[in-house]
Amino acid sequence: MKSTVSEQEFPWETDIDVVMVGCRCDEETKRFMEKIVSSLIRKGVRRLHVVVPEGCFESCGVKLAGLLAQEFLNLSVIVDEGKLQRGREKRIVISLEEQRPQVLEGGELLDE
Amino acid sequence: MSSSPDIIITVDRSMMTNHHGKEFIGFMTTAPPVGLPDRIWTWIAEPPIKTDEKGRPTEAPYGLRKIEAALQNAGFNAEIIDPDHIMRYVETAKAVFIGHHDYFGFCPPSSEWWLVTGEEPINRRTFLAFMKQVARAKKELNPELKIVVGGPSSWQWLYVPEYLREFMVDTVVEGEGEKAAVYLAEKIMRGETLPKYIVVGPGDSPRLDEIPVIKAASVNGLVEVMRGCPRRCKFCSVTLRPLRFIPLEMIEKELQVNVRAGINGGIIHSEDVLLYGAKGVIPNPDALIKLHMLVKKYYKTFTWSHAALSTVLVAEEQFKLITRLKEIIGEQDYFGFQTGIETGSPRLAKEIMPAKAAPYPAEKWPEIVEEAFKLLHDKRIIPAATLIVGLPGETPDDVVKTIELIERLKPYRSLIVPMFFVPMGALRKSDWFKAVNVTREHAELMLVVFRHSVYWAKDIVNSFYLKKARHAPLRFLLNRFLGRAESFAEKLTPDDILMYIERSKEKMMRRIKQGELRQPFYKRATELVESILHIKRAS
Repeated sequence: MKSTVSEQEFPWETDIDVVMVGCRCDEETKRFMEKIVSSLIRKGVRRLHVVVPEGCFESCGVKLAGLLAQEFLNLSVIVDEGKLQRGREKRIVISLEEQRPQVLEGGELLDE
Repeated sequence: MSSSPDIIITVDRSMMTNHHGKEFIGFMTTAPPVGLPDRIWTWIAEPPIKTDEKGRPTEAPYGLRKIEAALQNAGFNAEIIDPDHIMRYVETAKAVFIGHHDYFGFCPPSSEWWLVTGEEPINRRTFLAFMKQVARAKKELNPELKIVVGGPSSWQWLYVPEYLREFMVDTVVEGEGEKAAVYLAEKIMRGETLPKYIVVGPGDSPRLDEIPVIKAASVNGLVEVMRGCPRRCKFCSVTLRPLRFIPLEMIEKELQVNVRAGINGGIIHSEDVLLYGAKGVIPNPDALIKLHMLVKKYYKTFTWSHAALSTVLVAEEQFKLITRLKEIIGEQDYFGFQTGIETGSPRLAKEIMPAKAAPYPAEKWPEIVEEAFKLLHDKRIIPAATLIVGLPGETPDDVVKTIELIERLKPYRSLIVPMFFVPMGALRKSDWFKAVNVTREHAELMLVVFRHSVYWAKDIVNSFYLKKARHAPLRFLLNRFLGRAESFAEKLTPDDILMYIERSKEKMMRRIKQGELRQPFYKRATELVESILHIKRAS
């Protein structure tokens, strides 16, 4: 008997969505995402769902995926491209369109 | 099962081969042809495997067999198809699943050969030619076809993302793939959009009851006995995975699958076979004896895939276990395994692999290596060992200590291969090789290792590995190659090695500047596709 729903269904049922809006493939984004993922891991997140903008996987998606996989070795990750298919209670939306990346939604899920 | 699979599981020829039943010959796929014509090298390294009328190989890589079993158990019409036969099915298939252990030649020893010769290794060339064929089939015959890539080297795709687009890859899967494969297959059948990338973290690795039994034979009878490793070396990702011992009943079922396919010899696979059933790093004699007796019941001959030298030593010192296991294994032409020396420096050993020497202290690592090699030589067991060169924090003194250790290992029958540490970030650039800084001490080490390995390789080929009359053609070709290598090694100096590497780097840079680095294999790829289509048309 499997113990929990998430255990039964993973990797398909992740803990949290991180949705990136816009495109900005630079080192500042990378550092920003690293801070966010570190914060989520400190809060106990082990299964991340990351949504990158359409057509961005090869640039920021790869950068992010590589970063996640290599820096946070105990993490399970799913990276999707395009729009988030359905709303989720726990999600963080990050804008990469402005002059500097910023959290638009879900900041309360992160450390101070 | 219908005649045409919905999901084709496959890989290029460098993996879909049994290397003439000699697993170690598989290492030749990691190099470009050296001293022999391309065709002969390729014939030795990656001969085609027998297939049935559907194009299903009689033996296939073990990892692909696990994915096949997981998908079939979940009710999918999925089968492993030989790469020469996939064109028969791509038009109607829904997906192609591909698994590989070194997609682009970035893993050692492929990257070493590439660095030293300036030529792309055979496995990379074969894979790229194969992907060209798959992508062309998707584009021209079945645009809805999903392409999923996974396996131990799937991380490499993130370093060459342009190939994701070029080969129209839909999803990259990292980590243990059994559950992810089923998840993706369900999405494909429902016509849903696939994720671009999945990492199955160590915490989500399949439990024992989620690991399926293979349904058809594995290459060279390989059977997994354990997943994970408790030693926590800093350079190894396997060590992060939970430790799972495959139960004997499951191992027996897989042995039976292979025997039914006519395979009567094989490899038992684990990161450290001698830790099967162990608590910590002290071997469990009862579990190991039962395991070996079980394997011997089905296989006439077999070897271990990997074992740690410290485990070898403690197994014999505390339990006379190497002696006892050799008695069970009995007389056979060859018995060997892969192992890691990595360094001869106690300081570096303590830094990067503090538990590799356990239960002995890390400071004693060079003595452990020497004692284990002596023991193995006496027992006629042949280790194929790796060294890691150029690690961050390595000093010239560390390399000198490794040279001294290799010189002390000279009397012991073995093969030793140096592997250059390539920083991951460097792989994103086409001039990744510039990040590999080969010092004079490294060149001296390479020379000592080269002479050691060529000397013992001749003995191993002629007196052990290929000593039977039926191996005469292979033996002849390999002796010819080794004879040339030996003459070359005698005259070689460290300065020559440094010069070769510099020339090789210059050659690769020239080719990058001229836009040629990728061209030769595309030319070969096109030729291969044309020849396959020609054969298909003719038949």
